[in-house]
Amino acid sequence: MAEVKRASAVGNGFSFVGGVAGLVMYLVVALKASLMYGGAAGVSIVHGLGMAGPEASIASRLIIWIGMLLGALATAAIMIILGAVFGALLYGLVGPRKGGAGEGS
Amino acid sequence: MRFVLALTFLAVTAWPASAQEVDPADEEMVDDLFAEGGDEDAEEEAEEEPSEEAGDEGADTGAPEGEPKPVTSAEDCASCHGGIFDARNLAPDVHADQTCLHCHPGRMDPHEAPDLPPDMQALADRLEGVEGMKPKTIAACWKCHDEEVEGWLDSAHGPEGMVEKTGEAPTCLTCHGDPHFMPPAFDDKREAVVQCASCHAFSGEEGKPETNPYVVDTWRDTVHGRLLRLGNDDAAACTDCHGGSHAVRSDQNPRSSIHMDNRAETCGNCHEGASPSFARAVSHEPPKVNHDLWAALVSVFFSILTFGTIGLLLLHVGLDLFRSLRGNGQSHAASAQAPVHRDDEVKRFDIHARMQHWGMMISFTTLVITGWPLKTAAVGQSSGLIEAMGGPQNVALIHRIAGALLIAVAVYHLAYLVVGISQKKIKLTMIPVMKDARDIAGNILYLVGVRKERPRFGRFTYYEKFDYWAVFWGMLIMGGSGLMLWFPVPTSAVLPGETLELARIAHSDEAMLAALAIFLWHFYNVHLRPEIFPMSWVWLTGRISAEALYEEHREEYIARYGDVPPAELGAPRPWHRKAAWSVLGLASVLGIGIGVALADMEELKGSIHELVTPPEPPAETVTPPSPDPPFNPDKVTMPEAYSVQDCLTCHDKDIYDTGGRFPHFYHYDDFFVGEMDKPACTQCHTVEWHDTNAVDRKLCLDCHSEETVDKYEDRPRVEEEIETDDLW
Repeated sequence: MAEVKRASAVGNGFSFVGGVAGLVMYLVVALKASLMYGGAAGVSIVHGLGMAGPEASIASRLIIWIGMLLGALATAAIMIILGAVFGALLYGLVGPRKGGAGEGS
Repeated sequence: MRFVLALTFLAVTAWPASAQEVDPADEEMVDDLFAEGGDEDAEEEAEEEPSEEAGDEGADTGAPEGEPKPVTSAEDCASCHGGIFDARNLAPDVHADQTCLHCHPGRMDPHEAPDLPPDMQALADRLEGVEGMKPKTIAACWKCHDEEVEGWLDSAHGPEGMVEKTGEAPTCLTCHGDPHFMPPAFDDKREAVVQCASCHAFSGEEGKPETNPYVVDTWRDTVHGRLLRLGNDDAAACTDCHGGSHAVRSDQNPRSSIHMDNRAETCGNCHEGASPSFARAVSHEPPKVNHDLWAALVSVFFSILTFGTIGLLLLHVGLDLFRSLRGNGQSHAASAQAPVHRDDEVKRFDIHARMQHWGMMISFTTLVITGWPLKTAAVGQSSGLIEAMGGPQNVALIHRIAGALLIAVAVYHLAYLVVGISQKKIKLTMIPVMKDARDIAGNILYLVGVRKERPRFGRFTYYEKFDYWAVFWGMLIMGGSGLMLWFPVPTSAVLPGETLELARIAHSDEAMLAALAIFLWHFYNVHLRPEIFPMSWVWLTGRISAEALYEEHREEYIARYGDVPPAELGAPRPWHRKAAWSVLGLASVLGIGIGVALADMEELKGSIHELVTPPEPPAETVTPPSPDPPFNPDKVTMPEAYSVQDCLTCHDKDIYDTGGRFPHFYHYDDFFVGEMDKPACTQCHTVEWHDTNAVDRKLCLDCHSEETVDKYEDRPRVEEEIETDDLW
């Protein structure tokens, strides 16, 4: 039977706090830039598809707005995950060791 | 008699005085001449019968006009053109250390055509008669800038080139501005680009050249335009490829730097070893079906691929999120014979797999962060982001290092597979099989609520396989195109130069697809799902919880522990594992984002609009920027005139006695008899430079009764015209 170890709830707490910190950082620092970059991605798609500009086509506007939304989500995701990673790394450095419930089963 | 003496004196002294600064001693001399008092009789006679006496007087004086004083110094010029001197003091002038005669030689007679030196005259003769040309001005420029002017002469901008086509040609002054207050030449490539764009971005319009209207936009989209925008001053601009600033020749001209036979050499100035094939990589034509079919097809392909793929992935993410929040409604009976607890962990990835993932994660993230600003160079934040990362050259270096790391990780993984498979430690469980297609259908039905249970996945789910093979695809595209762009000269030696443009399109568009797929799709599946949030530890520890193994890889769990659920499966989760947190995070991101978008709609719309339609260059030729306000001759004033001699610098002395014209003659001798404290001219005329407004009748009423004014109002007035054009 494969080796089994009991997980640590403290580690999850560290990563959770780190993730929240990443989310806050995103909202404070990168929100507007992510919207702009997402919009740029949408513009790139519109140009690539040979569509008319946003003033002339509602489909173009929709694509650009979707791009803005995706840019916001993607940047938020990466910053949340980076924050969670930092939290996990911090837990690895300073957190209590696992094994409170013993190893194996 | 005194009056005649005064006139004679003035005739002798006033005219030469007009060509030099007023000597206060002259004024005092005149005052002293009549200091004993005036000839009252002469005054009365002049006042009562001005016309006859004035005419007689004027005829009797016959004051010689005299020859104009030769212009031998700047001071001589200032006597008439003082405004230019003032202007040069107001605005920076690159020719500030040059005197007037340096550019205006041969001005012995200031009102005659200059007598140019033979070499300058030859150039002026060459340009004589060409529409829009100022031969003597260009000859003056040629005196010091012969290389530039001669380069311009037979260029596409020169008289022998452009005039034949459009009827007019840009001259030195077109780009460099007024020669009297000319700022230093463009020392920033961006300014030079704006200057070129002021004509070439409006091709086809009135007064603009009939050239390719896409030159500016297409250059802006190239790596050269993007890099220059981001602060890399080594990036090629117009003057780098088109023979400098002056010798810009048509591509049909064999001497042109952009002639097909010369392009490789031109590109080789920056790209050592460039071949004619390499030179074909750059085009000022946008990718269109009728021009560059392959580029157009590749661009459309990647756009459809990105739009379609991300759309489907997001749909899947949305369905999974809401299904997770609803819960699966299953209850698991507690089993006393559960082999493991739900939080117990089993090994899933060995150290090699985790190291490969670390390398992939670091390199991919670095590539996205360093590459995205180049792709979106038009976004204002990009240049700031580049600066924050150390400047364009450093960012390019980091990007290449990360790319090399990514390739190294790929090689590591291939070696890991080969060794592992040969040692039978690794099974080919990542290969897509027919079961995956059934799993896709089954999972979609589960997500939409038709089925109550998820399909039983094996070691790798279909979306994990998608992640893996998408990276394989991305590695081929990004790695291949990246290497082509990293080594463009060797690439063009093997492949046609046009493939570099295809590589650029593929690299740019695939990067966007990969970034969105990883940050939205992959991150959600492994970290942001409510059951997992905030983070999965598998990639760090290599171990997976029994619960996750049971829920997501049921077949593998059964193979390990049998078909018995882990202990406490379905029990309430700790506070940080509740789905509400992921919902809260997602809602806050969406809410804040939408709120900002709605609140700052106009600015965002404006920013997006700028991305779609970059700001147009000015339609008028741009004069290099000057830190001082532009010169306004209307604001330049002469110093307060202290004597009539100041006014005589421009106005002929005869204005006072020519035919007894009203009202000058009557007031003329008032100055000499001391009846008026102030100089006669400024009593009625303002000191505004070149004030040509007629004297208001009200001014006369300041000193004279209305009856007197009415008496002389119908007398012939002073008529004089001064040519002011030559002064500027």
